[in-house]
Amino acid sequence: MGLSEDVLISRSKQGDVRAFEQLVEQYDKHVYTIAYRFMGNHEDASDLAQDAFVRAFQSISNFRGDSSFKTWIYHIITNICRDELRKRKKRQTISLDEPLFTEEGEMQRQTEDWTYAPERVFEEKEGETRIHHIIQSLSPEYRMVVVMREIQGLSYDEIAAHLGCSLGTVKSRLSRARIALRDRLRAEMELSPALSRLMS
Amino acid sequence: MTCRDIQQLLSPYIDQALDPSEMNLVASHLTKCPACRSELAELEAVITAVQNLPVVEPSAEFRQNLRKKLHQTAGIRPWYRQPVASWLPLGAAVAVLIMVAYSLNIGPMDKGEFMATRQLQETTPSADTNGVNAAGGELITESFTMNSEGLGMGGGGEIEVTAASPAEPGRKPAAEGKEVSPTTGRNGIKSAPAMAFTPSEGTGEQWQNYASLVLVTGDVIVVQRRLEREVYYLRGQVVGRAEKPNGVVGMEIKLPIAGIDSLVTILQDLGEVQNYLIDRREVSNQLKQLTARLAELDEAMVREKVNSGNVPAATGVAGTTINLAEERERVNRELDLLRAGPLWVYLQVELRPIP
Repeated sequence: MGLSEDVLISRSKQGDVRAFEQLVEQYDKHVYTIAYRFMGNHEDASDLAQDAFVRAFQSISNFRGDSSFKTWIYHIITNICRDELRKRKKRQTISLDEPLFTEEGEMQRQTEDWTYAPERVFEEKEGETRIHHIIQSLSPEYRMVVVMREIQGLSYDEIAAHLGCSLGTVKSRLSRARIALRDRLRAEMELSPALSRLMS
Repeated sequence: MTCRDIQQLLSPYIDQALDPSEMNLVASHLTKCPACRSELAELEAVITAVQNLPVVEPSAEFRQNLRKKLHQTAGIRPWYRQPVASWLPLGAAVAVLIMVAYSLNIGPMDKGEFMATRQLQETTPSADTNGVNAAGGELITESFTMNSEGLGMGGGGEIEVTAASPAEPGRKPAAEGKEVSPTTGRNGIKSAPAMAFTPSEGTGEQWQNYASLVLVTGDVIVVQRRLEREVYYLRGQVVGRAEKPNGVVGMEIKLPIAGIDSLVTILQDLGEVQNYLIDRREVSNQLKQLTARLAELDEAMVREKVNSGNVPAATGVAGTTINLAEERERVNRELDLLRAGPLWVYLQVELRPIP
């Protein structure tokens, strides 16, 4: 029988890398999945998930146990992905579904923001893959709230803390992100029986 | 409230994140409005579909790399960064190989040899003409022979030299107390200077670092391009390439020692690393001798200048001055190369397609 999580954490704090590896084994799938849903591809997911575990190992002596290890490591990967997406966003041109930040708050652009690329229309992919791609087609800000809420199951308060924004912003951003997802899925469903089955 | 207003509240309504009065308002509207009920059902279906996305299984490679990084973080050195003492068996094996090669009169220093060494040989004056003991040069020659033999780079292929001089102008030698800065890898992870290659401060030791390996990989051409890019990012140079039969490609790389860890990690990502050999050769004596020779040449040039009294270049005396200047330049180039040695690793990589 394996050692308890508390023992593994305690040993990891003393620099026992084997103990930490056992912790990694328990959570690597979920951490990797979060990174994959945030970043959209395996290469980035791999790099960032590895970074998260290395950072966790480096700072495990600071882990006080106020939350579970799972919450703590999810927090680390979320922050890493958030920072990476924001870093990339600065280098990118503006996405059409990007919210407009005005004095009156966040507003949705009025432009029609979804077009069908021919390759998407004719790709024969499974519904899950399509949903993944549709999530990736959202702007980083929308994608972040969707992943945090639907994949990680974070509360609105937790999302607001991660993103450094108000509860109201989380509420409206998530609402718009879900509507954007629905519109895109609806459009794809008309073309894809696989998605229709998944959604029914 | 209009349907449009209600639909804006459906998302937080699903999450029960509205205040009680809003919850009641939305619930009441939904009982009367089929269109909004339909909207609600669609949104719930979207949320369920996203929540039901499966957990993604990371690759075995992910786990291997993560393990490697954790061990590096914990200070457990991977096999290629073990202290020098642990290379001794390798050194002995290399020595045997060298002896066998020489006894069989094998040891060609032609096309397949390491470019940096070839350059060094070209610029190394013979012991007969300038008084420099050739022992240092021999050591390096042996090292190249080992690498050349080990990788089979010696025959059949053509080397394309892409960089003329391995000496790096402006670089301070380690002997002057300068250290190599850590290199930042593609993921922003800093790799510390490779311990195995780092010279001991204050010992007066100077050496050249060599490594060779075989990389068995799927697509040699793609990997070659990727490798060239990575070497560039690590501030190294691909100093030679050799195309060989059966799709084998040889690459000769000159890399700052700070980048060797990153490069080996990248290589392990790209394929299966085999026959990894590392070696280094002490060149302190050679440095001393070359420095002494440089001083002699400087002195001789001053003497010639005084004797000649600035006579035209066509005269024999001026010709002697030109010979001295040429030799001085050669010695200087060689000194640059040797002084920069501890900062660099000369790496031979043979890319082999998966059989």
